[in-house]
Amino acid sequence: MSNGISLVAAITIKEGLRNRAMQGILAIAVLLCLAYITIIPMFAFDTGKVAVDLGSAFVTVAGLAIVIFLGIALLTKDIHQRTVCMILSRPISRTDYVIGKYCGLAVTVLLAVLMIAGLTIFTSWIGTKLILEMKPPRNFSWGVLSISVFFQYLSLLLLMAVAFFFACLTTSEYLSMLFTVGIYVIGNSLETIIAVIQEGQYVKVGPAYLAILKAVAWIFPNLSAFDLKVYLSYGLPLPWSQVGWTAAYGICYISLLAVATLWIFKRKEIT
Amino acid sequence: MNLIDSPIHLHSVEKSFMQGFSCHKILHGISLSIHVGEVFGFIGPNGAGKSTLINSIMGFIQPESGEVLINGVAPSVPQSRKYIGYLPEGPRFYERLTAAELLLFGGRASGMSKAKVCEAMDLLLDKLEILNAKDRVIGTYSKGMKQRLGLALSLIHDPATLILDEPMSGLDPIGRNLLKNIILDLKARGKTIFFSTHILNDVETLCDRIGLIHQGRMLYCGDVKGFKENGMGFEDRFMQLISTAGNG
Ligand SMILES: Nc1ncnc2c1ncn2[C@@H]1O[C@H](COP(=O)(O)OP(=O)(O)O)[C@@H](O)[C@H]1O
Ligand SMILES: [Mg+2]
Repeated sequence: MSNGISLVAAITIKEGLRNRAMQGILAIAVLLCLAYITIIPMFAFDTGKVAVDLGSAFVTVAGLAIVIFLGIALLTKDIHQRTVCMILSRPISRTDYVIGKYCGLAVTVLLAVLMIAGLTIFTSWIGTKLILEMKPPRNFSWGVLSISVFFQYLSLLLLMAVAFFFACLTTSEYLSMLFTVGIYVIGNSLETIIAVIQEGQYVKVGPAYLAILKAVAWIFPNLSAFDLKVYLSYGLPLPWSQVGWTAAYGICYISLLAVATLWIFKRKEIT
Repeated sequence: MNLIDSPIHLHSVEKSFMQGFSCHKILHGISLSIHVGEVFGFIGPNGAGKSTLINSIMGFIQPESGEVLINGVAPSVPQSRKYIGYLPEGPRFYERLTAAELLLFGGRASGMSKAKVCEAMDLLLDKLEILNAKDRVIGTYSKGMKQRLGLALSLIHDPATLILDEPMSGLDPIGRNLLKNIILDLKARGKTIFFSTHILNDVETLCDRIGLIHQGRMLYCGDVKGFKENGMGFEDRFMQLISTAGNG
């Protein structure tokens, strides 16, 4: 890794971890875990599935909040308030700046995801000791748990690449947030929508419309593919080839977005 | 003149900005060559185009036409900035870093070792009288302290050329005096200094040459003595040149 990238990443991590948003998110995560112990006993059965669903929801919400509030805010602030000048006035290329910033935020998000996942797992473990009816999911496996958390992280990285793209394109904090959240919602639901339409039971549309929808689905990132929590909560075996393809898909998508973002940022006027 | 003798070289630089739906030309064919070891004052009223020109030198913006060279290299090459120290107008930093962390980043990014930066840092912060705030986060700094820190950041790697955009602004009289002495000291050590200002105090005593820019046009570029034609005061001459240009 070039010197510039690692230096930019280092100050981004420091700035990110000391950010109020980050501390707020972690505080909320602790509160949620406390709430979680009180919610679980309300479910007489399937406590394992509820635990997995809630836990993964925590990771998603916290990760999403960090990507939106930290990722976009730090990047647009850099351009608007010209803090980027303290970096670009050094012999550091714009490419190194964007990659360093992305890597730094990726580490920040990773730390947050690990903290929240750890907190949730710890809370669940305490739960099994305190609450009699709470049991781990059937066929529980640490391996599947780790892979499932990793894929959640990967989908957050993809979303962060989307956030970077919009932040460079619009340089408006609110527009970028709006677009990124939009992509998140579409990316999570488009596959389901198409499946429902294809089934033809509830909605009927013309084949042209379906074709358009399918084409659109190619442009938007398919975020629902990264959701592996069913395998964890029902103790199903992981479909390895599909998991492998999903990872490759995520990495390709991030790389393509990175190329577009760099192309835009290199031409950006910083005044 | 040989290009290597000129740390900053501009040739008929033109730049326009979109303002709303119309395109405004901000720089009209600016040509300028800074000599090694001189103090060059770039003066002009607010909105004259000083920062725009400095931004083109630093590679933050791309002029439509003309040539910009830093030590003979285009600003699009990151290495062109290796021996340059830059102070932005009203500098802003990552608010949650401490001054020490910021300076360490700056020095390391310009190719210094960690030990070297730490050594230089204390001397510099002491000289700028903010050593006691070294380990405080920058968010707690006052405007003047940020300006001083910006100066420290531009000087940390002991660059051969300094580009300072409005270095006096935000500083109290003590700070201005400090800056004046620093500039004279740097000059004595053979550094090249290019600074912009709309405050004319001290320009006369500090600078070897000055450039006067108004509405994106160079009205004067040369030594201070030549500027003060027929016994006119510095400020009067400044006003005269600008008002005649405005009328013409
Ligand atoms: N990003 C921009 N978009 C449009 N106009 C700009 C932009 N940046 C500067 N300008 C205009 O360029 C002119 C010169 O600005 P500037 O170089 O900042 O002046 P100064 O000499 O005070 O530093 C001003 O009229 C300003 O309105
Ligand atoms: Mg200015």
